[in-house]
Amino acid sequence: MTRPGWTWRARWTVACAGVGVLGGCYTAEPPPRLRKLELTGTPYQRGVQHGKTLSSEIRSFYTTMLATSLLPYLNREQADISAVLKAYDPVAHPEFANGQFSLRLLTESAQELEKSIPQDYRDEMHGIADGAQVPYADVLLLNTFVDSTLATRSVAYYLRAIQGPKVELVHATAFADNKGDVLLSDAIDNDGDGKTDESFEALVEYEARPDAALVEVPTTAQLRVLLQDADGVDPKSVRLQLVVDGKTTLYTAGTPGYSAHVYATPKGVVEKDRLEVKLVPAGGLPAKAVVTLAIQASDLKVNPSPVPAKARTMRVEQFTFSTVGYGKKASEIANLGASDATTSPASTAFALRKTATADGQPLLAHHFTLLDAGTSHKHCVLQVHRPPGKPAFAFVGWAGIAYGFAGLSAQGLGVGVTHSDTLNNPLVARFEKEQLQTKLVVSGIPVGFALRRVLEETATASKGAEKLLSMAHTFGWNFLLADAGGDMRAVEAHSAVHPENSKPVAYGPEARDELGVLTASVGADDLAIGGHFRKNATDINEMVFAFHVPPQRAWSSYYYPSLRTQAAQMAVVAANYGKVTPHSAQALLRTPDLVDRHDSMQASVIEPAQRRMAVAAGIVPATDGPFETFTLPAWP
Amino acid sequence: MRTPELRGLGLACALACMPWLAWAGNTTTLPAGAFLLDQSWIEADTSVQWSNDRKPLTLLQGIDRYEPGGGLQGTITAAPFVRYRFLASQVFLGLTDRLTAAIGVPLVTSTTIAPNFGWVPGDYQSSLGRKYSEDDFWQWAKSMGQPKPGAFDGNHYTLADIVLGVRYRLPDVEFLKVLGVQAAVATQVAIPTGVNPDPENLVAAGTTVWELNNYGDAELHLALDRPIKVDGVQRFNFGIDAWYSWFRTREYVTPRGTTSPLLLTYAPYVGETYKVDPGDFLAVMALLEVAPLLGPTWATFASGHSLEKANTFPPLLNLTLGHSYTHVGQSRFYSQSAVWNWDREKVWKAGDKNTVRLSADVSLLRMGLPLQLYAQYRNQEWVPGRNTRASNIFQCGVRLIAKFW
Repeated sequence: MTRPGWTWRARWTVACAGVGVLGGCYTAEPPPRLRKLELTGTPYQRGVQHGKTLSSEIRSFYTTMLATSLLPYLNREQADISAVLKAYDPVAHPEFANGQFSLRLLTESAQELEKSIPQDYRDEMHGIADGAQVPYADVLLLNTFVDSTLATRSVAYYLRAIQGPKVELVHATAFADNKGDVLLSDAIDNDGDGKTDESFEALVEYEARPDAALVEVPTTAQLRVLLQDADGVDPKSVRLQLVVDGKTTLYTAGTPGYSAHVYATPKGVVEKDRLEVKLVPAGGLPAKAVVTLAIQASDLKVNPSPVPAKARTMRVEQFTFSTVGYGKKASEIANLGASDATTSPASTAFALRKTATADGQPLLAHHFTLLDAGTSHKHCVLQVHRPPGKPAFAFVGWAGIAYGFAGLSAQGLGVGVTHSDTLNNPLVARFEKEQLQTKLVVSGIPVGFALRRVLEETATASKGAEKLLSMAHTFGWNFLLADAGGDMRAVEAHSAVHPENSKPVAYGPEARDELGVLTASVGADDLAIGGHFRKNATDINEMVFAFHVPPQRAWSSYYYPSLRTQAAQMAVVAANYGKVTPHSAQALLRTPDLVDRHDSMQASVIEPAQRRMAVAAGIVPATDGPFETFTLPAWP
Repeated sequence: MRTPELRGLGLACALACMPWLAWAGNTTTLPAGAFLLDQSWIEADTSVQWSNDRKPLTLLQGIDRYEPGGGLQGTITAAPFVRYRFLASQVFLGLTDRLTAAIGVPLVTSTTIAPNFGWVPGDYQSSLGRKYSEDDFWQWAKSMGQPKPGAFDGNHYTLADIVLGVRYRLPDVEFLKVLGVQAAVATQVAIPTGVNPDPENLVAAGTTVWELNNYGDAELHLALDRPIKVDGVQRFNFGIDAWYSWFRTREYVTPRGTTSPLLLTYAPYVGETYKVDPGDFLAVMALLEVAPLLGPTWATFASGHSLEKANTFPPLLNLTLGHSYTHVGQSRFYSQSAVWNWDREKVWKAGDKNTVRLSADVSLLRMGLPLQLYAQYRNQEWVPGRNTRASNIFQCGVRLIAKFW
């Protein structure tokens, strides 16, 4: 039955309209890469606004970053840690058993760190928790896990390092025409010890260092490396990488020119804990070149835990030398080597001003990389705080976290921070007192809150640096500050376990080392920080209980990658000196050698004088995305 | 850990998008009082999905895994193979000569999913002293609380959504008569008797219309046939069927990660439940039927002992070639997490699928046996689609035609 008056055309029209309505035109769109929060009122009120707006993101970040990623990952370290620190023995302390190790460890640290967090930040965290309707403990954990994890990681890496193979000696020899070792008769102080052609001229006790260990090595040189491990060194595991002009040649068991055998002393005593590795480079070494020998090996003991079962494997160590005709001193040759894809560029930042920028205005560029875990980039938030009666400030951080690693204040101060591995941290201080009963409980002000304090309470780089030097820090951090007036300061901070030996330092572009080389600059108007200490290169080097606690360079997995990143960054800055604009600074941050493609988290370019900040975040690497710009109002 | 989904494997096993009820022809209706029993066996295999640029992909893309601070562990590859088996029982009843009602009861006899995981080694791992092997990786994952997902074998004798439908052959209005065209409309609705997959199982599949992607919760068809008779017997037919499949928004229980804690812990931020608006289908099918063999025609009880009537019965052999184009709407997820929604929506974008249908019907009615045997093959890989999963379906069955009075 049809309705009177309905034509076929009318029916068809209605049918089509119906189809259109039912079908809809919805096209899925990704959520914004960078959420922006404008927060006003008291700290608690700002926290509530933050929590309410990002409730789901906060829960998501907690779940995906901590509950299903970092916590289970840290649980794997329990076996190594509890082997030394008995407080974590799951049998003696069942509260740390059944997968509770990492959560309890981070929670205990969070509770300790909370004591150093200023009341206004605690109020804000309570506001976040209330606004998001999540437990305060979760918010506290989100705001402290970076500090706790890095400090714990440093201990775990150190314990791993001391149990793995070590490079004891590297020896270069060059015999030609049966005239003996050329290195002993070349009238050159090859090892830079002030003596020329002494016996064992080119036998070097290995030490991680930022520069070359030998110079003017003959092209016919052969290399000998002595590795030591209490469990013996697996000759099949040794990987020698010879890096010349960025080109790497890998030598392993079976490669022509490579040999390895258990070491026997000149008197014929076999030392099973030592492996002597010899390398005769194919075709010899090129003249006038910088050569890096990268060394890695595993021991002979297979450890079943954490799985997969594996031998202890040392960090890739690097030994750099120049060949005959290169002409530079060892201190002038950087120990850079080349990445073998097992490492990535480290966090980095640089500040420029006056003659370094196109318009003479200061700027600060920062790229933070640490751990994305497939999730942190989805939770990036630009937080603009407008506290009543006080200057506004902004930073780029994450949902549920009341701080960031780069920020800007309305008073024209920009700050960026990078992490810098150190054993000069509160855990070592505790170990000194409590020894094997130590708990890995971190203390001090979490780094992000330290950065916020500087933004909120200081207006210049030098005042900010003073502020940072006055704080108790949780770990190793490098801060870079640049202000509207053009001042810039770097601060290398750690926990100053024994301040009489080493304490945080601040410096500017003028800083030079004992040889007169600029510490962290290529000119008068630039300053850089990375993932390692420069001024505080010996951040710690002392005996604690029965353990030698070495400086960062001796064990940090970030050390050599950071040397490379910094060299690349400073080369980029030097090449663009006087031409850099805020826009081109974004392009510089995208330089491939500066970008960790796996764990890049956020990048920003700050113009302190304009109170402007451009932020790239929400994608991995962050610099693959666009920079979004915002400006803070002037103050006062 | 960067973590694209394994979840959704079940949803990936989309059957060919064809109306479930196996109507004969596009516009045919049963005589009043006649009924038809149809019993068939169906096997549907899915192992391919189409990219946005119509390239074939495995059902799961490679998943890069990173060691925190250690570079690329490797890439998990997976080439899942999904197989559904059904017994489908259908009853058609001629209410009038123009109006036929139908009910279809699809019973899933089994669903199997073989994940077929593989591994492409990544970077040399300094901490390990070697590259991660596949075994290394799954040991690592297990130590993090995530066991390697196993194969799925379930849905044994489980109902899918039952379908009720009617077809009405439109009156033979003058202009259709002139064109020699028959027209019909049909509609069907699904009764939600199917089951959802276990939310905690990483590799699982359900039996609802959305899981099967074969028919909608409600459908509206408009079909035309242009039969061509030779000596009074239909030997050719060209038909077109256009239809709209509507899917209702459905609610699911969010996994809590009880069995896959690393990959399925969603509830804390997604909410206890979430909803999915699957996205509707808009489709058109063209088919060509050829009857190459009439077969012997006898006056039997089936024709009331009338040879004339027996000659109007379907030919002994009828072959069909059809092609359907189905536009599939964007799926929309509703939960407390926009991030989570997007992670799912981006793999369920709007797209289309192309189904080629080949079938053969053998009708014994002319010989006095009210039986039809048929076999059908539907393929969605021969003609590329876009953003959809391709299923290939084999179906064979038997129809018994009878009359109550």
